[in-house]
Amino acid sequence: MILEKLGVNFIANAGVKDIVGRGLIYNDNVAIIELVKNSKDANSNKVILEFNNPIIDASGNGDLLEDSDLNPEILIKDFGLGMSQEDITTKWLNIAYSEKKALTDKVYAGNKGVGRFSCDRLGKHLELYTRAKNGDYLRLRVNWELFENKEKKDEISKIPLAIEVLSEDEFLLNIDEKNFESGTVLKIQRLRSVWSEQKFKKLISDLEKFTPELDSTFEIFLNSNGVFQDKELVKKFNKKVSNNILQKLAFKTIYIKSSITEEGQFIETALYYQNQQVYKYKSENPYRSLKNISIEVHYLDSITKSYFTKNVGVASNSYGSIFLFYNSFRISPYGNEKNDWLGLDQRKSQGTGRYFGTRDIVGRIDVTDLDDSFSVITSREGLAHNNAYMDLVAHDPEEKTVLRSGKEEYGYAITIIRQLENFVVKGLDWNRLYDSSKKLKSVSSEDLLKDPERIKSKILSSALIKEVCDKIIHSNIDIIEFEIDSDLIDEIEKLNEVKYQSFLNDFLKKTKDKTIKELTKHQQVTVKKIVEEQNKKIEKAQEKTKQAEEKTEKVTKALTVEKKQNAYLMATRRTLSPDADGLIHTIKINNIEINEGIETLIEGLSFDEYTKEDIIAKLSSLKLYSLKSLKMTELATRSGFDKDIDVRNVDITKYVDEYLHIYKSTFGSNGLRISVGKTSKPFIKSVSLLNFSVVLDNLLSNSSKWGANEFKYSTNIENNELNILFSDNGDGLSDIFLEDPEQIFKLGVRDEPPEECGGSGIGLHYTRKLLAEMGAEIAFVGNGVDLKGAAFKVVFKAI
Amino acid sequence: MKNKKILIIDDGDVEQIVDRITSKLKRKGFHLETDVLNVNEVKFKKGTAEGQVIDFEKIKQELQNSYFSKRYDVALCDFSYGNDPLNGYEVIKWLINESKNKKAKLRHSTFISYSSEEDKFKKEIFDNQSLIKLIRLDIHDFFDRGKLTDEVPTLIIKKDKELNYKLHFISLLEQNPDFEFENGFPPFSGKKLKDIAKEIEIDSEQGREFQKELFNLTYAHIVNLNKEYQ
Repeated sequence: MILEKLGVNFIANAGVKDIVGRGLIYNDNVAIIELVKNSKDANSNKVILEFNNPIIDASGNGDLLEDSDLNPEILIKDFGLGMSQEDITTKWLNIAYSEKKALTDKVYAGNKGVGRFSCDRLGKHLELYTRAKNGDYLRLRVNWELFENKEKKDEISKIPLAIEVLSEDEFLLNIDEKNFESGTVLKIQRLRSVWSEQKFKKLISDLEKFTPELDSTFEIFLNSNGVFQDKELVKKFNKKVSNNILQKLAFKTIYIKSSITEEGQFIETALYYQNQQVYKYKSENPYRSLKNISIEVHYLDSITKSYFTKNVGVASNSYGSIFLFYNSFRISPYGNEKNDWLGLDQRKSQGTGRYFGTRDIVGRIDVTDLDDSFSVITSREGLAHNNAYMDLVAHDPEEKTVLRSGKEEYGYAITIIRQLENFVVKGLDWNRLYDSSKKLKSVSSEDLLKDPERIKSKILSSALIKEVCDKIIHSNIDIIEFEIDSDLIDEIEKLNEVKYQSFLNDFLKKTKDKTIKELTKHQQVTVKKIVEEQNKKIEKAQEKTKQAEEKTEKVTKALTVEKKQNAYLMATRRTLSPDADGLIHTIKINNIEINEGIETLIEGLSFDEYTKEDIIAKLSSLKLYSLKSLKMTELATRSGFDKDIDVRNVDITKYVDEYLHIYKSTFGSNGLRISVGKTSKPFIKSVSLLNFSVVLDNLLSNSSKWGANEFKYSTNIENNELNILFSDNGDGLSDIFLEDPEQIFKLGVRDEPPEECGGSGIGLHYTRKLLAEMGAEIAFVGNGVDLKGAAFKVVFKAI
Repeated sequence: MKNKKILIIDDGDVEQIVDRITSKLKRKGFHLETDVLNVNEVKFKKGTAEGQVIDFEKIKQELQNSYFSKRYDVALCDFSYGNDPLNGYEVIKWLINESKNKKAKLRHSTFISYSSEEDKFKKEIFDNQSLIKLIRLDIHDFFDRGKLTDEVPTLIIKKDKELNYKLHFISLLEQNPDFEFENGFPPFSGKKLKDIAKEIEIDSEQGREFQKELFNLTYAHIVNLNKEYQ
């Protein structure tokens, strides 16, 4: 039973501004980055960060702010969409409202609706200048102190604010711009902290890491009128912020790059040594929730670390380790100094082997997430540990992620980092002198001279590298393709040899005039080392010689045995010329066809499946193959073989002419005289020259059988068709066929010539068939059309 | 008669081979349909400084346009194309990978490489260290060209005895393509059987769930049918 009902609703105390703002934006750099993100999301093509009148105090003493006359301020200018009065009232002033959540057709960097409180984080006073396109010039002034130290009953909505409509001149004066079409300028004053040089360096470092490459659609400019002591810092101001450190590193480091394709089907990975690819592979993507991700990780040894510091201005350890970029924006604090989000340092401290820690690598992971597989935590502490996150970075052996196959495995990023680790640790890091006491990470020749007992060298083994690669193949990854550059591995080995030789030469130069007794103790030990090294090489060379000798002995024995056993045939294939190779290839195919045809016939007959007509049809096609084989042997003696049998574009007219004049002597015993009538222009058509030769043979053979001693041909082109008229001076077509000459093209139809033995009656049948394959037709046109005997017309259709 | 279908990619004549395989299978109660792609046809050639060679891009185009959407029991690819720089190993490698990528029906075929020159094939594999790739490709076998007419019928008969649940189910669904599915699996409610067949064909998440659900239902049905006999 309800006795009474009282209407109530949530109220928001003014202090909520601190909880959702300064409470969540945990440092100034995060605040700046949030505001820069907002600029990008507002479709601005650039953002200008201005630090005017900065107080640069090494101690970072906050008291200086209160006493200073400088009035330091931060301006953040974007030239994006800007806001109207309604936008300010209903959106900007609406705590936790984010339009970006509603609009799903664009990838947004921030979407929590709390970025506006970054201004509060940075300074106590905000002037927001904004203008939408063709809109009013507006200003909103917010004194954040009005929202602080309030009573219980002081609601945030009760603290009045005012939007001012300014004149264009006043607006432009305040933002220090000559014109302003649209956008927003945040002027943050009464800064809450001092911006020391060190703080600026950190900010610049964060901005540079901000996006993978600050893409050409969005640029960040950093300006200041401050006077800096640090020369490297001075170079970074009043220009565009750029970051291509990973590109620069590529020439110096060993690094690995991997990506999961857009649809999530495949992983493509490649490992590089100083920008040359050592191996690459493509595999099925076993991770269920991952797609559209790329990873790049560089290994930093002591040499590349010093290169890094020189280029970036901060030591690599202070710069950070592996950063995460989510939809082009960096997710803090992943990758920050001392942030071990991938469990690298934890593992390094536990393991007995050589593992990568956060100080050994630098790189980035880019995630393009259009499906919201990942979830950004509101407090900006990173990503929620959902399935996608685990698929990406699961590193705890007790808490691996589950692959599509059902097997458990470390996360994608971890797997890739460990591949690099494997390569460096097992395959490569032994390619130079190393300090056996592990005090020195890399060894120079001076180190060797100082304490040669400690310094040892190992031999690089390309077999070790291959073993590393084998490990990948036999892992849980389903490899589709794998390539390894053995030449590069050998080259690396040679480079190490060169380094060693150069050290040796240096040493010999320094000590050349000294006797052994005159050398210092250290130098004597070095000599000992060199001798040891040389001995190692000699042993290696002797081993190789022995292996080569054993191999030669084996081969010699085998050859002797083979020679004894095989008087006529070699066990291995001879190397033939391309022409001969082509001939063998085609003859084999042809004869396999003949063989199969005969077997089919035999089987068919034994099963009683064939009629007489079937048998004739089968045998005629087999005959064709055997004719082709014979023809091939003739053609092989005349020209480049493959060219003749291949289907290719030829000038039919020219080929007929050449063929008839060269081959006439091979047909029959009567020696047909070839005469030529009118001939046409070239007619190019794709034909099998072998088949066409067989056709011409048949026509010549028929003429010869039917008493001709002259064979004439003429060609003409009409309506884009080539007509060839073949006629002879023989007996012509028998009367029995004159009424229906088409009969002569049927299988088995034949007549006996007066003085000769007839043929099988299949020639004209396959002549018609072969011509049809070339897009040509043949027909009997009559007796006495040109010469007194039979005349046939062959028509090649249009090109 | 059971229907079987094969694809042959060759650079020469295979008429007699096809004829013999067809006759042999006919005697065993199979009707064989054969598609032949002759890579030596002029339409697949391109001109180079060395003369006419096979244009692999044209072959790929033809395979995708005309053959990917068909289901073959066996797909055979000749290894050697005479003196052409292209060889059949490259073709079959691309065919297997691309059909899998595109989830084409052709990917279910049993892939065979064959040649009359086995030593050349071996040289291609071992000299180029392609052995691992070869294994991963899952080419079923290599046949001598001269033994194709024995090996292929044997393979088809053997494969016919194996049951591929998925393909069998797809073929059942395709028998009644426009039949609407309503009950038994809500995500597919309202879909036609041909669309469901496609989901299974492309191995979609829902397709897999549906198959699992069917197995569950079948099991439940069997148990139900036999309860009274326990």
